[in-house]
Amino acid sequence: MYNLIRILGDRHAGFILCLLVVLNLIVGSLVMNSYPELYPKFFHLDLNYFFQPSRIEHAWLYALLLTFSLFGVNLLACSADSVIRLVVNRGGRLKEYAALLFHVALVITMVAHLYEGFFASTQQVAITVQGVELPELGRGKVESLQNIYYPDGSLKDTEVALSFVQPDGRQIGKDIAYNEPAIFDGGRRQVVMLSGQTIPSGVTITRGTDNREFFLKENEPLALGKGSLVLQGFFESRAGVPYAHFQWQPESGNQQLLIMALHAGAPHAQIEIDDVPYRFVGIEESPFIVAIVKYNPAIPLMLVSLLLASIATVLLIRWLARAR
Amino acid sequence: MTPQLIVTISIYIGICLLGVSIAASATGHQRAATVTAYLYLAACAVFYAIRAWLKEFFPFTDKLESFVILSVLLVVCGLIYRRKISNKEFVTLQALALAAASVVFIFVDVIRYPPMFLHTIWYPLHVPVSFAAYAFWLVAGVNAVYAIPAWHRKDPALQERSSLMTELNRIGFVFFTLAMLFGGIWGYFAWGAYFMWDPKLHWAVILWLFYGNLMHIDRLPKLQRWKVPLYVAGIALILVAFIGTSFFSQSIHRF
Repeated sequence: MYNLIRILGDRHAGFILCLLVVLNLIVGSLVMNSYPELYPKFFHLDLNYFFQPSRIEHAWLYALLLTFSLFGVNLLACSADSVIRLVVNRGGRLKEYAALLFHVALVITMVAHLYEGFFASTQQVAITVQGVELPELGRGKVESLQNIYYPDGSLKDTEVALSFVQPDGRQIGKDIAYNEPAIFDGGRRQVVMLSGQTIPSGVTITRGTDNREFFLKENEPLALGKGSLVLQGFFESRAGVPYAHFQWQPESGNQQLLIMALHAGAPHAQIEIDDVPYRFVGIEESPFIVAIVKYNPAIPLMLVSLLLASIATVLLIRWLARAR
Repeated sequence: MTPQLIVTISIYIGICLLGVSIAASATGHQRAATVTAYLYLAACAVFYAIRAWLKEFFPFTDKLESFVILSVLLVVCGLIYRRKISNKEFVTLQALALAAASVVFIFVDVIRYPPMFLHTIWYPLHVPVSFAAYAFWLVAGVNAVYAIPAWHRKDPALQERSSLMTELNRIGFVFFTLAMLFGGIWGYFAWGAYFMWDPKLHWAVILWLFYGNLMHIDRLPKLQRWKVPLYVAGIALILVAFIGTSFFSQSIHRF
């Protein structure tokens, strides 16, 4: 058994295998850069992507999985050999412990990446005030959003309050910001904000004859006199003037497309329906965020690896300090 | 005098001082070379202090600051290892530092507030240690370049250089491991992933594995002959990781 461990954990073979992994990664990087249409820019570790379907351009990854697997076996055997030697010698120097911990951490990291690559999921979603169904997290919606700016007007941060109605009916609130995701299930699930802003969601108009105000939500018909009015959407002219499209559907007769400039007091900031003017008063805005909803079952493994690598680094620093 | 002007003047003066340091070192005026190298570091300290004040943040957030900090760290490494490296190596390191700092003549310097994703403690922890690793590994690379004749002749004098390469690699490896740990944690909080198929991250893994692997070469008698060529090749890998991925790739990272 010990002989088998020594053969599998041969250090010369390990060195060459690691160089092969490095070469493989270099080739992979060049291929990915040459085929941007195949490899998206914000590409999480999704190994299933490379097999759905398999392509010749992904050959570097198949080779990488092979070389990494061989390297992993070598590392594992090498680590087992080191443990046996440490036990036989009843302990060792700081350097040996650091090296062993680094190797074990690397093996765990490799397994974690493999696990994540095949079993994690990443979804990019827009979460609005109306809410959106998120896998395992329930219905998530934006409660409030506040942008914080630098003195020059550039964005510094965005603070968002989210609420989740979970599948079991429980309601929870989470505050998120850039670099501050909402974390669930011991870190395995995350909602990470990529951007947050407000969008126009409705318009308030006033009737010229009696100054009565009406609020129109996008794509929701509003009964108005002898017909219904629908706010179809918000646009911007080439000159940068915002305007809205309305559709007037009279009880009898043809539909009419109406355009209103969204600038109070502007000449075209009104529409006429049955000879009655309706003036623009204001825009209702609602916040939304673009977020990554991530499920990564490998997080506990990565935490173990992080802990081991951190201890190993501290030991290595202590050893280097002594050696100097 | 505006703060921006002081920033510009301080780095221009710094570059002149570094030029003087190189000239003094090349002509054998070691004391003058050391003093001017320290003055260069002082000029850079002014450069970074004012930028930090203007940005209200850690001032390593754009390409100009990244190149200058690499330059600073190369000079620092050169000064630390002054007694262990030859004068030619010291001059080479100073010249590399000068080349890195001279990007101020190429790029337009606009001091902007940092983007929102950089506003985290993990960013200032991650960046300096990764540049420190680059600097130590570059010193090892320069050491290896000057070791080529001895390596070719199989000269026993190579042993001293070889030990220095190993020492520099170990320090660089510690710094880069810290950079990977801090960067991974930052990535998890900022983008939901400690690793993505991004060129910068891809090349960080390449560098970490390459130099981690090189730490073992002294214990592998059959492969020791490759030590010097591999350390020289490491320079190319660092240049790709530092410059190539930022200028010639689809990376979301900009240094």
